[in-house]
Amino acid sequence: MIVKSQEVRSPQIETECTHCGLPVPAHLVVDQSEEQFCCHGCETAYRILQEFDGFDPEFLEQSRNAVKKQSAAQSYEHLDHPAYQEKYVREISPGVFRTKFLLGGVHCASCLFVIEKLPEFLPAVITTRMNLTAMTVTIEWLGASTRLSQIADTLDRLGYPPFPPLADKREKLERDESHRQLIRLAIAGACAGNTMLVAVALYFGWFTGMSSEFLHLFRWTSAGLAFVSLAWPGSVFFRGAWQAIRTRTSHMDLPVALGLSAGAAMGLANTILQRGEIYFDSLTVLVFLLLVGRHIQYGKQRQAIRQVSLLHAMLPRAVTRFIRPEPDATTESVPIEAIQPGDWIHVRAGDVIPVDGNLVSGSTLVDLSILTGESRGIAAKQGNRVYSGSTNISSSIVVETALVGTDTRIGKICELVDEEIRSRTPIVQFANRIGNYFVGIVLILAAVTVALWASSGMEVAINHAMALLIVACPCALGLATPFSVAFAQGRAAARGILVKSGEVFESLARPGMIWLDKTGTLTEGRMRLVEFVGDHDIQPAIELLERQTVHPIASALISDMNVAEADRLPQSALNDFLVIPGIGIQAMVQGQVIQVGSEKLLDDTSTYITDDFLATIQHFNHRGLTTVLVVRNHEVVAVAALGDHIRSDAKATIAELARLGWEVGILSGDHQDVASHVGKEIGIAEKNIRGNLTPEQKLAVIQNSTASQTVAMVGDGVNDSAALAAASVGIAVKGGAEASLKAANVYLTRDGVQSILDAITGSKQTLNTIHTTFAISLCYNAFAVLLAMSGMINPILAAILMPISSLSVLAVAASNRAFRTTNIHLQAKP
Amino acid sequence: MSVIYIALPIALFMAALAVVGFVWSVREGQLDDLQTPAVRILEDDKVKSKH
Repeated sequence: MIVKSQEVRSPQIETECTHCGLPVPAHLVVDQSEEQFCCHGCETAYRILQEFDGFDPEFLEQSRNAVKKQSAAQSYEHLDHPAYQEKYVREISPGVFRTKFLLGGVHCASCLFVIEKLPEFLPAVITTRMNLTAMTVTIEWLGASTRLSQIADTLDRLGYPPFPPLADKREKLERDESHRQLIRLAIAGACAGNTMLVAVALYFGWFTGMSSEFLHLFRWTSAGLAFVSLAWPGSVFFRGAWQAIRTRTSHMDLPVALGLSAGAAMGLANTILQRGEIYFDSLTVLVFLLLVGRHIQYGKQRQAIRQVSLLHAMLPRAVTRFIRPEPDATTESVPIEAIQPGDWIHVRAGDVIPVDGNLVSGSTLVDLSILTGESRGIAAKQGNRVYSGSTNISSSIVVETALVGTDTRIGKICELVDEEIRSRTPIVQFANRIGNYFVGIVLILAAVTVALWASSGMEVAINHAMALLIVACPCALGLATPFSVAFAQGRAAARGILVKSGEVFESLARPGMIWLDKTGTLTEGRMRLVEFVGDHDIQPAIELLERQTVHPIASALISDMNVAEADRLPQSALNDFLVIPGIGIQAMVQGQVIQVGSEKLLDDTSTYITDDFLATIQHFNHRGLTTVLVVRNHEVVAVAALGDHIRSDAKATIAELARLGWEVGILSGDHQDVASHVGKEIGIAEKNIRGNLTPEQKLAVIQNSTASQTVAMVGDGVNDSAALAAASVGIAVKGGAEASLKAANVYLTRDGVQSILDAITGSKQTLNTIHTTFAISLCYNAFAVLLAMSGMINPILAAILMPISSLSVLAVAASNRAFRTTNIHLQAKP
Repeated sequence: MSVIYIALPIALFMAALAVVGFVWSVREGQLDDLQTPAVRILEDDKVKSKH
């Protein structure tokens, strides 16, 4: 009786690309085909290599026409609009224009190969330069011979839908920061290299004897180089330390700055007094290594952020606007930037509403789930308010714009979330909290050392204390965490898990409470046929009827009943097709009256229904499902129940989470009955299922449970974003709104909830690695500090030991196995 | 050994030159994209049409 979903294939099966060998994304896998491609670039490149030795424009032309346009409905006419051109296009010389696009679907070298062949397809295009890091392409073309929309259309046909580039301002800020870091690295590196060369001469002189004249020259040269290194690139640490002192918080920069200044002071004193050791070589190398670590970290974070922003352009870029504000006026396609309050906009069924405004014509169902989490459509008629970000489900409407961009409801929410993120510092905090005690202990021990050795003369005492500060310099500690985290972040990103901050690893490694949003997280977030009770032979007739309309229920019925090609009825079998407003549809099929619609069909007293069917309908309603009645010759012959389908991997994932010690619960904006049913189905305890929640209530639940344990929140909608931000770990799942991505610290790019398990096991391993590196560097430090305090170590030895500890810690961090392999294999249960 | 007084400044000057060169290349944006050029050389040179 129960019709099951078709998704039996486990998402774990990874197919390799025939051309480049990279894994093929699940949605691109072609069933029963020998050749699989990870992108259109690979497919095109592969075909070229297979059939020709060289390059044949004609063939590419064919393949271009063969490749299906990515988004058939997408028109790029809005790119020719002056408002767009004004913002993104520059005329670099008379008649020659230059613009930039952010490209979707760029994957590998073959993509570059195909995209840079663009001038072969469109002779008016002069050059295309692809930047794989930023996923942008710069195009120069002759304005007289082609339009921008045509170029965009060609890129789309090749398989790379173009988007406007990211806001120049943020991009520029990021680039400037990266430049500053690179320049600091260059100077620190040059100083370190030259100081070491000088140091070689000094050590050589140590053994062979060197006249004091040259000894001074070399020492002062080292001092000069070290001064440059500390004053310019090294100033980062001193500024950090100064801020830590001012705000009275502990910061990893504090001991680093202390070690650096202690070494520099001692070195300078020894240089001036012409005695003992100088530490400038180790100091400069230290500055350089620390900066390298920071730069790698920064790059990794930037990459992750960029991937997230590319994935989610929430609102449509092109809007259909009426030229005059009246329903009969002709329409034009304009970029969303050109829309002003007061404009009339046409929104087709199935499109995302781009602005906040009032409905001036048409009535429809609106999917507000992005704002409220409610998965059922809300009716909207003339005069009602509709909100941007929501989806227009059933019929096309005309909206009078009231608010645009950041003024809209969703824009405001996004801004709030933005502020929430800014108030939180990512990785630095993590290292700091652990380094907290370290700073104090080292300072106390240094003081103790001075006190211990004071009797042997102040100079000896200070010398030993200096050796201690240098040998205890927490560079291993300072490097270990960021490196472990950076490695784990990079590998996790490659597995489709974007981790924004290092705290996540720590929180997820300990089991606690995990709250899951229902719609879109545990379920697929769209209407599906759940059960079909009654006469299955009627299905071809239903399919024929539903094919006549465009409605989410119709498309769910058509795709999920899965009527075989051979059984389909021809269009000619249908007569007297009729839409009964608000109730359903009716037609004559092969001499029988067939009606498909809601329970209102029963209002017609001539409709006969058995008690069994009545009970079934009640049962479905109790489960929160939408029922569809099928009536043949005034007798109910079948009942279909539609609802959101539970993801195939949900049950196994919940079981595994419970085994790992997590307590699992559901937070849903949907009706309690619906939430309870889904919860029961996948094995969640009744007491942890909460339905009927507003975003504020979700937030309250999270805040109340943030006591001593980790509270993780998994969700996808804007309605979840406050809760995501408040939870100790917010996990946004694929398909979620941009706001939820920003609020969350983890973003899963793969469908389904199984990635949560990957994130948890990966976090455990990462935390283990961090602990191991900590243990190593602490043992080393404790041992070395003991030696220094007992006066058995001189500053030279300290300087030699220091980098050895750092290297061993780095090696351990790099050998972390987290996220390298799939740790858990779950089989989707058919 | 007094040649050191000439050699050392020269060495430092050359290092400074290298740094200046690097800074220039960073400002020019040559290090903004480290992935694409490595991939671009894999492309074949354009083969003339067979016709």
